[in-house]
Amino acid sequence: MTKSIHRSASLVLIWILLIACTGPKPSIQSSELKLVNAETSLYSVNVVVTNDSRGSGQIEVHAALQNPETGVKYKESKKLSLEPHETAAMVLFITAPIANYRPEVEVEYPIK
Amino acid sequence: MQFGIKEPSIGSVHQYAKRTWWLAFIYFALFLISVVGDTVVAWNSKTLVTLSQRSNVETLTLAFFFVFFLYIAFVSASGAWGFLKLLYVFSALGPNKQAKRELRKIGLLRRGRSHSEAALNKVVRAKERESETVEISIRDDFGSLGSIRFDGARIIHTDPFSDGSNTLFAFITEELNRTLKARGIDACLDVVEWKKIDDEETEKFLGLVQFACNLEKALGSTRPLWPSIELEPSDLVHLEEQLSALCPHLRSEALLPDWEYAGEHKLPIIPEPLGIISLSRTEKRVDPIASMSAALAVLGVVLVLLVVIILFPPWVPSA
Repeated sequence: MTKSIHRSASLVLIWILLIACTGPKPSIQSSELKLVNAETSLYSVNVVVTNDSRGSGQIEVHAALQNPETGVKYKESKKLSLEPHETAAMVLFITAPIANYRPEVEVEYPIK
Repeated sequence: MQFGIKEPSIGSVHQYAKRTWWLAFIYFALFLISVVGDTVVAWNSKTLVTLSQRSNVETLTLAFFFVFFLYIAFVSASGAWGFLKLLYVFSALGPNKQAKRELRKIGLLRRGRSHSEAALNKVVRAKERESETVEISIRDDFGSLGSIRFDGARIIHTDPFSDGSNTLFAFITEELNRTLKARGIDACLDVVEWKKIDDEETEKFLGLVQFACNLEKALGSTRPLWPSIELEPSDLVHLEEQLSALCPHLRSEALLPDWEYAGEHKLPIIPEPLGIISLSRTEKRVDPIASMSAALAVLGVVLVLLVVIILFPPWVPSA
């Protein structure tokens, strides 16, 4: 009985420590590409990020537009702080020649 | 506790067989965890280096873990190979499977280049025998595994497979203690020095015992000067039967590496650099199953921690 209480208490303690130290677990909820200005070839990528964890911390969102004809990638990144279980929207602006792009969006934690 | 810090009980042939399988499995698990550990560190090096640099943990710690896993993989490779050999041996099924298995083992084994020796706390003598040495052969229907010779307090395993096993000496002392206890003699026979671990101390101890035996002869003493035990012919027959039953497991054990170490267990109450109080206990010999189990536990904990850190990255300050 005492043994199982000790074991449970240790597990609870480890669990509390894990929760207390954990960072965010970000995931991309949605991403949308828009041509903001055809004259300046400015695109915007609207990204919605969700933190699925009880932890908080700074994340980095990477967006890339790849030209299907030339294969050239146009990239932009932005940092953002996420609170526990928070959903945040952000906009990344990329200047790229007018083409039929499909956005590639990735989120990174910890930021390398 | 005894299992963890010194050795498991090997008082019966069944326990010896169980121990051999556990040891083989531990070697295999050590190798597997090391390979997985190195892969985890290499595959997630960017994440781990980032976490270590941003949390002020020395990045060299990762290099240490990498080398640590590599080292354990290197040293346990022969044991893991032995485990695979055992699986191959025990895959022999059908009628006469025992014979097939033993023949497979013999085909995989090589004779040792040296004898295996240890020193007992008491001189072992045989009743109704002229010779000062007592020799018991270790053999079964499938062949010989050498013999056990008691020469004063010296116990020798001659002509063993591989390089012999110290565990066999531990088994023999446990067996003799039990046999003698059944006759009402509390022998307390034990191995006190292991030549594979400390040959100088073993020879020093045995020299002292030899001196006592020589003095006994010179004085014509009727009582032994050095503590001794006398074995009845029935004791020798019983031991020979037990060793014969042990033969298949000795062959299995010989497929595994035999790492024999002394052990030191330290428990710092106030850790370094103060290190004012620390508890320690030393053992002249730690059974590989105890030392390798400890290595397996450490390795497992390190791997679990790495995986948890990768799956649930901790909070780190903003870049």
